[in-house]
Parts: sequence; structure tokens; C-alpha cells
Amino acid sequence: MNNQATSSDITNTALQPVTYGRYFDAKGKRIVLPFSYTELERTRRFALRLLNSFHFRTGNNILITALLDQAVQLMPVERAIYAAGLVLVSADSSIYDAKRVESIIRRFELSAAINTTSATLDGLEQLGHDPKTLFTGLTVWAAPCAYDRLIDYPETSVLRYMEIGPAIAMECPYKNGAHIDRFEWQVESMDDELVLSSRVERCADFFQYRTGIRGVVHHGSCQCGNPDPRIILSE
Amino acid sequence: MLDQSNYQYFDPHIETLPREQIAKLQESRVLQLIPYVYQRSPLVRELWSKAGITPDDIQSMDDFKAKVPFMDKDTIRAYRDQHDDPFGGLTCATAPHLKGVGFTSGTTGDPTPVPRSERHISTESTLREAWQIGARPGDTICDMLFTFRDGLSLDRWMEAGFITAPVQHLPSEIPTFIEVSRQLRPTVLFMLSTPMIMALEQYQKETDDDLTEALSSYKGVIFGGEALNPHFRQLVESWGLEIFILSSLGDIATTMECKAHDGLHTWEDLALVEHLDPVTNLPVADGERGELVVTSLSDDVAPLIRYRTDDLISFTTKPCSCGRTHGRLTPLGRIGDEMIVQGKSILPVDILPLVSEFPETSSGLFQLIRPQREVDVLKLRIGFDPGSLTGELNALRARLLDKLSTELQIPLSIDMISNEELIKNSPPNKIPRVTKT
Ligand SMILES: [Zn+2]
Repeated sequence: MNNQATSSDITNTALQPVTYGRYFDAKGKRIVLPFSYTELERTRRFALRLLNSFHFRTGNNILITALLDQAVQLMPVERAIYAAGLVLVSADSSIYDAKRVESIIRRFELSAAINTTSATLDGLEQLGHDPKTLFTGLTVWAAPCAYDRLIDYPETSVLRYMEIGPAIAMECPYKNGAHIDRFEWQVESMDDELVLSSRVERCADFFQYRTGIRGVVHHGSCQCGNPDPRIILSE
Repeated sequence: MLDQSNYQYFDPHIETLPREQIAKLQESRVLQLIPYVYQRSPLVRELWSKAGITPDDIQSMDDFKAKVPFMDKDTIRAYRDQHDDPFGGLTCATAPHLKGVGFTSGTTGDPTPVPRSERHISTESTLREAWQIGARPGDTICDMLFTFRDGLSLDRWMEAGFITAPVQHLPSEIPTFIEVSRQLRPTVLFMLSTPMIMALEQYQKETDDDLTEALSSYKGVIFGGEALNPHFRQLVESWGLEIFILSSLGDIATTMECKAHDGLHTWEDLALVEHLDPVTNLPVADGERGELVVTSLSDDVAPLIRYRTDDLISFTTKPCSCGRTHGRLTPLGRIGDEMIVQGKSILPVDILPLVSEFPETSSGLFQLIRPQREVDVLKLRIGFDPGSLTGELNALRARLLDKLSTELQIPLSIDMISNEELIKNSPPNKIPRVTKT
């Protein structure tokens, strides 16, 4: 802070965090994750590649339900929504905010909902609403805790949104597995476990990081046209 | 880099702008705003045509204050319902300039939308406030905002060089909060609520952890959501923490105490603040009880124009010892919460210090039963801690009744209920102070 030099110092190029988020390790422990604006911008571009395969239109409303400490994961998705000319509608993904979610679905013509959780579904049911009716006609990226419940809704297009250690993965309309950012991460499956290495500089570096999540990786083309590899969870 | 450790203000020239300059700035912003909003906001056009005025009628701040009609939550909601417009007729822009929609914290009915561009107006006020507490570039702010109903936007602190560390505002996340505080040594906590203080107290009892040590990096903690119970203030201060009371400046920005703790600083470059008698709509004298009425001065997406907040405040524009020139308010409660008991005005803020004096009810959990505004007898539901109960519950009730009737000079009836039962169905940040039944 107290730099006595009168000229600028070009050797100080380390990435500065803009926020300290969190991820969960293989044992489910919460680990602090420093995150820079550079990472935010790169991940925004990944999320934009993904959103672009959906043909949403300018002004379409997209709901993100989240908890505040999911910022590192979902802030880039918010930015991709902005960049695509869509309108972000926000609510908390806790049980307490289900009332707001219901009101949003009723008031706003939503095109999609991202990170729908079992807490939201529980909260809606406790208030006497039928989530199946509410989510009719929507594209819903379900959090892992809600996926098995939502997949039974016949009138909802249910896709996976998930955290893979410090990374995120999201399904495209073709549901061939969840795309993961190929520029940011080298992802491989070792003994049926997803293992990550960061490919570019990050505040927190990862090398052959075992995520504890069982799955396989598909490379090659997807019908959506997005070359980012896809993760398919193992049964 | 400039050493700003001794810089008292984040935005020095704006925060200390002389009053006559504030007035000039407000007038020019209002005069620019009027034609802009009138051409774009369907709600404003509807209200103005009902009032029989057009932008040509507004040539000065005096014209504005004399002629422009009010709006409130009900006006916005009614427009929303009649026109099936989720934004309530407020929006002056569409996507892609319109980027997102947040919501007010309202607990009754559908939440009121707060549409915005990529910029959050409240960023400007929160940066000034965190700086006032003592945060400086490179410092970490522990962001424990109630609910994230305004987008994630954790980079909003970036302009001052602050780094955020988000923690979920849930009693179950107290161990995470303690761990993050020890690991990252934040200088500001944004923010505490009554339930989180209770959870910290519980955590301390169960773990015997040294909170004073764990929280020693904080130069200040922000409290908001409702009036702070004196018992909880004492508790938080016993952990070595300085409390700064924060409130919402009519859903436009935040308003917070400075180190003088002598009222909450409004930001009159961001919002035109009016302080009016809720019945006559005339300005109320400096320091008296009145309703907060706000106009957004730097919002081009959905500016509120003479928005009646339903907040009762006292307000002063007298200079503050901190050197800032913007007016200060003291929140007193919601007009919608006010009860008239045999002609006497009663607000939850009048009850809180009395109830929290007793050890069994020190949590200050209570509800006013308000079937209508005016009643002959004030019915109260008061929460107690069964663990602190030494004698009969009826004896406690009698002591409370005696204390409250003596101090308030009104007829009362009191129902006792365990704290646990009372907060069972409440959201994690706030106990509803007023209920119909
Ligand atoms: Zn001051």
C-alpha cells in the first residue's frame, strides 16, 4: 500500500481477488475461494456460449435463485444474462423466499429459472403451491438437490446446473451432459472421479484436483454447437 | 498509490457539499428528471394527468414540491394489477438497458419490484458508509446481507478497492461466519440482525469460543432490519464491536450512522428527501416526527418520484460533528404499524426497551395485535425464554403489565408465548412486529 516509488511498478501483476467465494471439497467441506475479475469475465463468456444455444430473446426474463455465497459460481451467469440482453430476476434459494419465487413466476413472464433448489420446492409446497404447475412451460436448470424431483415434471424442460468443485457445469437444450468451460479447466475422469486442473492463472490454482464427484467427460461435438466438453454423472 | 488511511470520506467533496450546493444539485437533477420520466414512465404519466399537470408546470424545486403528486406502494401495485405490468409502470427503459429486477423487503402481499440497470444505486451509499466505518482499499468486507434479492453483484464494492467475503445470513451459518472472520480478518460486517445476534449468543454458549478474539478485526458492524434491542446492543458491544445502525432510504439507497451515532446520514445527491406530515402533507419542522418521502435523483431505469415510504422518521439538516452536510434521520417505525390506543400513538419502538428490561423477555420478541389502527386496549403477544423463568409465568405477565401500563399510560392485555414458538414461522432476519390476529 505504502509504495514509496514515484513511478509505477510493472512487476506487481498478481491477480487481485474481487470477492472471496466458496466451493465444497470432496468431503463436503466449505473452502474459501478467492476470485478475480478476470475469472469472472472468462466464466461470463463460458456462460454466454451456453445461453446462446437457447434462442432467448432480448427482454426475456430469467430467474436466478441462489444464496449469497454462490457469487463466484453464479455472478458470471448473471453477467452473461446481462450481455445477452435478457433481464435478471433475483430471489433467494432458501425456503423462506419461496413466497417471492411464487410471486415472480405469477407476475413475470419467465423464460427460464436457474439453480432451482429443493429448498425452494419445499417452501412452495409448504405455502400450498404445486411447483409442477408453477414451472410449466419453463426451462429450469435444477440444482442437484432438486433434479430428481423436477425431472418428473412433464411440462418443464429440466436441465442440470451443478458445481464441480470450484467449477460450474450447465446443460444445453440437447441434454447430452453438462458443459464445462474448456478454456478454464482441463477436466478428466480418473477412476470414475472428475479431476480438474486450471489451465490459466487464477487467484486459487488447481492441479489434478479430485472433486469427489463421480462422472465421465465427453469431448467432441454436441448438437447445440458448443464445443465445451460435457460431463455425465455416473449412476 | 495514495495513502488514504487518514482520508475521512470516500467521496469527500460530495459528502461535505455545502447545503446551498446540495439544493442547487437537487434542483438541476429534478428539472432534468421531470421530462425524462414523464415521457417514459406510464405510471408517472397517469398520476400527473389525474393531477392535471405536465412538465411545463415544473420550473423550480418549489413547483416540484407544490405540484407533483405522490406515489406509494399501493399506487405501484394497483398499476401493476390493472395493466399486468410486473414493473408497476415505473420503468423508463427496456432491455438491454434494463438489466435486472430486485425487490423491496415488504412482508405483505407481492413484493414491490425495483428494476435497475447494471448499476446498483445503493453502491454509492454503501461505499461511503463502509469507508466511514474505517474500511480502506484492500480491506475485506464480510457481506452477510439478509437475502440476496438484488442480484449477486459482489463486485459492487470494487470501486473503493474493497474485497467481499459473502456469508449466508442464516443462524446455521454462524460457524462459517466465525471461520471466515478469523481467516480473512474483515474490517466491516454488513450486516447483523436480531436473529443473527441471538444465534451468535447461542453459538458462544455452546462452544465457549472467544468471540471478542474471533471478531477483533472488525472496525464496525452494521445492524439493520428493525430497531435494535438495548439488551442485544449490550451483548454485541461486549464482544468489542461498534454498531452502526443502517436503514433503507426509501428503497433508493442505504442510510447509516456515522461515528458520531447521532442519526442516519441520508444521501441528498442520490435522493431528494422530504419530511412531511402524513395527514396534511406539509413539511414537518426539523427534529419532529414525519413521513419520509423520497425522489430518486440518479436513477434512469425506474426513478421513484415523491414516493411515500410509510416510514416515520425524525429528520434534521443541522451539521453533524463528522463534517458531512447531508441530512440525518432517525427511524421511528412504519406508519402502517402505528396504533392509536385511546388517542395515544404507539409504535413497536415504544414497547421494545420496556420489554427487553426483564431477563425472561430480554430478547425483546413481541407482537402488537392490530386488527385496526385505533383500539381501546392494546393487545400484546410477548415472547419469553422458558430457561430464564424463575417463578410463575403469570407473575412475569403481571410484572410486564405493571411496567408497560405505568410507562405507556394505556390499557393493555398481554399474552405470553415462548420465544421459540414466536419465531418458528418468521423469516431468518426479522420478527413481524405487528400482526392482525
Ligand atoms: Zn455524521
